[in-house]
Amino acid sequence: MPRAAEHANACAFDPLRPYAYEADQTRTAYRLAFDAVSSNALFANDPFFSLPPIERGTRSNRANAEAFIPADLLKAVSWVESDMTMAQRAVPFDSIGEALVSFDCGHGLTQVTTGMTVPLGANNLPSDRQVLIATHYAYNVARGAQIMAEKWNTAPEQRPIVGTDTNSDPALIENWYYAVWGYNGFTGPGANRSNHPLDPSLPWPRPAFQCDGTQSRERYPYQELVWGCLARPATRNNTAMWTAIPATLPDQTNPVVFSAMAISNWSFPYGNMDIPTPQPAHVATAPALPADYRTRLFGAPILLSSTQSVSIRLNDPTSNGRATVRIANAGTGVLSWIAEPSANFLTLTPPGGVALGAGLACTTAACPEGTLTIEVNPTLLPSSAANATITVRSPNGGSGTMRINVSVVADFEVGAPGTSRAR
Amino acid sequence: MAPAPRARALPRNVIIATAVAAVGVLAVASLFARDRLTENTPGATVQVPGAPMMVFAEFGLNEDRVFTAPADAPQERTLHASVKHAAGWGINPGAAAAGSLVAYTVLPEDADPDRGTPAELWVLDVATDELTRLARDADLLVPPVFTDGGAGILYRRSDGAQQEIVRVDVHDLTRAVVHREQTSFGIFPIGTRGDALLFTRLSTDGTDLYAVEPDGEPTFLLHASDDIARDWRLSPNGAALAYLAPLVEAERVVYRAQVVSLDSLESIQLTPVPEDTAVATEQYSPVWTPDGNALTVGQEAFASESEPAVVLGLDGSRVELTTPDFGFDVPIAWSADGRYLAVRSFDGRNSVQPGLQRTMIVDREGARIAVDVPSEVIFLGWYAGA
Repeated sequence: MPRAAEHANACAFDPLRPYAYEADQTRTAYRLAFDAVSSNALFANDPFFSLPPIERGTRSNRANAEAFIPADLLKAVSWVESDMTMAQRAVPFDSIGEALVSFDCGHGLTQVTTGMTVPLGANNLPSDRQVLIATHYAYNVARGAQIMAEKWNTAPEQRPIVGTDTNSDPALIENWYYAVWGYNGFTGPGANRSNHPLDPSLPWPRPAFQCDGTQSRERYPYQELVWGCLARPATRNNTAMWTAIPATLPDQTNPVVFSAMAISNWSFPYGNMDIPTPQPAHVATAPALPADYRTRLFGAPILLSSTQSVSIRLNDPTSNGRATVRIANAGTGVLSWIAEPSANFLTLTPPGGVALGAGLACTTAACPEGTLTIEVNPTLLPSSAANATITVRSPNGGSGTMRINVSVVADFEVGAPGTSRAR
Repeated sequence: MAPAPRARALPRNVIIATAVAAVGVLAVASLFARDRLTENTPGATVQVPGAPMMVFAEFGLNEDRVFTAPADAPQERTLHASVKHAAGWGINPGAAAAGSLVAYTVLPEDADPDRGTPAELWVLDVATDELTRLARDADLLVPPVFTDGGAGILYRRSDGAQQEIVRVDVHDLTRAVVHREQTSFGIFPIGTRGDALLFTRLSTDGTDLYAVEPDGEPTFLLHASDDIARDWRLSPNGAALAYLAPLVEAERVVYRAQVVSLDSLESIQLTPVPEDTAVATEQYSPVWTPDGNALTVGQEAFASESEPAVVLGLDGSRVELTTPDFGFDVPIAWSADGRYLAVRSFDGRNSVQPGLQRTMIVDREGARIAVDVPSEVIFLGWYAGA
């Protein structure tokens, strides 16, 4: 359905939310995705979703190198962002439900905001990439990692670097300090959303963030929230969500660090803010991946081509009529889909979603199939009898499409679209 | 969502006037009624019946609960309000209480959970449990500041690069912008002196202190630091300011307490670092004693496992408070009778290795009393009691 111009600055799916798969409570699938993206093993050959080369070297000696981000760091970021969840808090694990979309259009596990605002696809619909990022955890993880990589790679041209003494090696967790800061906004002292560690509004000294829900977030700059979580992994079902890494924060009593972060240096492109690696530093390595990791993360989803017919009879001009159809995945893994109506009197809820293939855990009636609710707005009907079609397609489930022919009959006189009169 | 404003139950001006008068009486009495332990010591105690009440909140993931409790019996707490808030984002307390009033900023439960989201500004009267919302456009991170004995409150709000310091009349809720400017950094309200607002301004030049009269232009008073100075506190009589400024030496950077006279704008020398200390050590959170004659600062546990907070008299005296078993204390505020100091007590060594934090009450007579709750304690101020 064409989207109105007033949604131009809204999130990709506004005013509705797509549905996503919330996998197991132990986040086994999500953690595997983070492990895979760490060494660019998720989408190595996909120009959009692959992890870019990570630059390393000092300011005067910076060069591209292999793509790598510490997996545990990304997991801690995801915990701070979303409690490592894809869907709204009310959605049970091992189920399908409304995706987690924040006020600033942050989507899912890594709260991807970049590129998730206005619908970017054809007909003012979300693009395939937006659908995948919003509904499928592996794509969301890939995009979040990519954004973190972009934050890293904006140095030294637009951001400072950490690791003047370690060749700014991305394998050192501590060297990600500025990139993590930038992930939430590279905001300076005095700003109302400051993440500067010496901001006078933040308590000082302050204890480490415990990442256990006992401390208020506004006492910490964002990067200290991540550092705190990284050192104290959340556990679910007696399983730590990541490996505890007591990463070291920059020592503000060190004159080199202090002077680098001095307010006099807070000026784009922040060229005087480079610092050495905080010590002791911690080395991250790419996690070993199981041989079947791609099967476990992606499977082989298939949207079967089909044609269905739905009739909706309206007998009350003041209430919407509705019907539901199920969207099935004939393959395996998570199938993402998006539905497009041909007429504006149809509203589709959700506008996009997922369907689970064989082998994925599903413990509620909301899965494994996706449910599409078709709603008819009588005030927008062109006549008492109207037809429309809905096309469901999948950006990761093959080229098949599902066509739904909708036939609407109203038991009342229909006037000009936007009005209605009871018989 | 945070609680909705409720109708006033009691005339607030009566309560405030009573409370302010009580504090004033205590301050005057302190000149004559110091006990033996603190005789001739700045920041002396005043013996009054009953322990003062601390006002504090227990952080909850979705809701903070505000209590009062006697200083010497924190477990005997009375619940005054429950404040729902955005998940994970608790209340941010004002710099101090004013009589029975405490203030805080908070993101209501349906607000966007982000530090830049406009916050609500509330005042809670613990004498009546009356909650009043004063604003919905406050900067969450910037603590509100009472003025005029609690008759007004200063807060900051932002709109892009423009920041404003706004005064709200607590009685009639009228608001007035006291100062506004475009800034890449920030301005922070400290308090008022006479009709003038005192505020600090951050810039690439560091931290500067300004005063601005109503409808006037800011007057530069003082360049406090080439870096970020912090923890500004006006003395009880408004004659002096204390703050922390970094001391940058070749080996180390430490924050040290500074005092400046607002009459002369000259620095007032505090007790110097003992000469046997080779390296300057950190000081934390200078707070004035109620009589305004001394400053209490925390000290890092540099050469030992623990270090007490110390009361530094403007007359050069130096009195150590009770030492923690491990770690160091960061002062929050003295009770109005000058007997109890609320502190954030850390079991580590300093700002680099702070360890865990507990809120403690340090009794001038030697006791240390823990305010233990399962989560973060948010200290809102002292209340002299009904």
